[in-house]
Amino acid sequence: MEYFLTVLWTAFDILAVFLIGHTFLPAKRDMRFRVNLYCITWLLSSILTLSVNGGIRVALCIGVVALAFWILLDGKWPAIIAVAVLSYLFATICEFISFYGATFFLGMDYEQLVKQRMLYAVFVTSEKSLTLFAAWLLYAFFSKRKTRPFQAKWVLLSALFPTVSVILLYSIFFQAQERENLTPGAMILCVGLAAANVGILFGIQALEKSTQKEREAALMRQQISLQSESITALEKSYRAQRKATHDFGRHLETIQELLKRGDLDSLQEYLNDLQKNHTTRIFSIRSGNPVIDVVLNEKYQAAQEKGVAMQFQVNDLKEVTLRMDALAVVLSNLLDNAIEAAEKCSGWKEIQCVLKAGPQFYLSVRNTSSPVSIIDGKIATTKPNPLDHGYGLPTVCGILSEWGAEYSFDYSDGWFQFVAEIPMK
Amino acid sequence: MLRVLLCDDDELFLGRVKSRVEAFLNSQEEKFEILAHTDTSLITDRELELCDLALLDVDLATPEDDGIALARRLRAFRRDTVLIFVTNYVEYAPAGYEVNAFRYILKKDLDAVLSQYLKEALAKLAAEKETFRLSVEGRYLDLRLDEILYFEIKHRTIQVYQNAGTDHGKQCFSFQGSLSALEIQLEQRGFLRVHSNYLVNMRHIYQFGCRGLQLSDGTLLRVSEKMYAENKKKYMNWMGQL
Repeated sequence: MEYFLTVLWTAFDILAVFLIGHTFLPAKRDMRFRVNLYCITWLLSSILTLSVNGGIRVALCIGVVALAFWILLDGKWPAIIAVAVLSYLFATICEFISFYGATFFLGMDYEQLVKQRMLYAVFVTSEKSLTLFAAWLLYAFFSKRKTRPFQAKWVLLSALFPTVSVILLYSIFFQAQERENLTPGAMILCVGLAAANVGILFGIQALEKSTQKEREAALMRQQISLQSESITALEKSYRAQRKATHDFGRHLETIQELLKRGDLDSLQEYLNDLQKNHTTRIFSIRSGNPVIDVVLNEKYQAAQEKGVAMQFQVNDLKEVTLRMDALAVVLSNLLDNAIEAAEKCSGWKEIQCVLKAGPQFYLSVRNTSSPVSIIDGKIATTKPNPLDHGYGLPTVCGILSEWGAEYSFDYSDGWFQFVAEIPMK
Repeated sequence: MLRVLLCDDDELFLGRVKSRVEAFLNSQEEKFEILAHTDTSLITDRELELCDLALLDVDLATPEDDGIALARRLRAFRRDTVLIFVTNYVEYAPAGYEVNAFRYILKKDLDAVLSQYLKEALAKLAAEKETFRLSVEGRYLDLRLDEILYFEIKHRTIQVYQNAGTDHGKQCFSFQGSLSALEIQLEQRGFLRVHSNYLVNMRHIYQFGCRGLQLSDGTLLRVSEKMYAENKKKYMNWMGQL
């Protein structure tokens, strides 16, 4: 009976621990896999609970949970360990608080409570159920906020304090057990530690939220800058058009005058000059999608000014139904990066841009470039103000991930290429 | 012999293009023949049929018979002609995509970019003329690589499916061999091993999903789930190479 109850309570604990794990890190496996892994972790933890005691049991249980989280959750090792320790700490703190409450209100110590078997069984089952409920509440509360993997910079901060807390709690508990007296002072310390851990969790969440806001603000700044660039380009183009219209009449008059005089040599020379200094728009994209057209036209002009050749392949993009402001940010960032890299390139400077609407929206920006090292899917920014510039490619990747797109970037044979396939619906 | 067609209503510019193309092809030691026209109505069907490389002005004197219309005429005879538009005003529109234009050159940039684009055009032409030789019933058969849809291995026999145009439909030939050896031979030529049983010509992929792919003729093939991410990346990169 005792063994059965221990195994049952372990099931509650492991479920609570898994829920806490899911609260902070997203799962990378399907539900069936999760259930199987949960059963294996439960089995291993039950064996450990029944066969090992003391600090070694705690360390081994945390190890088993960390291993399960490593298989199940999406995150780096330090984050996985931090979340495993936090989850274990959560269950431990709930247990300590419940025991203290019970011994305090029932007026008996821990040993006396254990000796009253029926009362103990009911009490522990209720305590485990409440722990599970509290874990579920935390999970429900945080999962509404869209779980993101922990940021690496918060990992040490989040791991250190809970680890020290677990060690402290266990030393207090074992000392109290040895003395057969769990003093109110020790319990206040336990509750204080628990509160501090919760505080740390909220602090990390707040910090992450503020970082996210900072990122959104940078994205907004980029969008505003992009829009003002587009307005400036359109204005420039409009002014050039007006000037060309104005000059057109004057050129006709001059040509007519030269013809009247029969001065064909001067006329030829005049026409040659005219052709050479022809400054009106010499390029346009008519893909059927006005936003894409504006961005591509503008970037083509920028590339021309920097001596970078640009080739396009576009089909009819009328049916592209993606969010246009976000698509403009994606295209602008990719093309700006491409222009900059191609301009710096010592050899042939070219950008090839392919946009095709089909079952999916396909996008490729390929440019000649000096060697680029891609480590862990990231390229370090070389720009002077990383706060404003470092978000270029991550912003593009963020938008594409939001759309459920498949994307990748690569460097080979002197060409850097970014490709994406975006679902249209 | 490389047959080049040039068309521009500006005779002076046409002469300039012709001399640049001649100089380039001579430097490459290519045997060639250049036909230069200022009037599209004088271009015969036979000339279009033989044309390997065409440099056309988009804005010709008659809008109803401009460079795009001429390109459409050309495509009716030849799918593999490499087509370069040389123009004062570049306009990328679905019409250019429809006629499969290889490059656009601004007239003012002619001297800066022509050699590079002609070099790329020759490489493309060479790639498009490549064939795959197999022995069927004791005689050799050369299949154009761009017409091959995919290879399939069945009980150590390889079947090659060829799309020989709409009139002929899909043809299948069998031969003995190893698909892995074929993969090594053809991976630089736009073929992708999407499954242990299939080596597919990426030119003919219409849709590539994690559960399977669809070819342009509607054929559905299974794909390796394990290799999906890597294969999809290769396919997407290949699609973006102009």
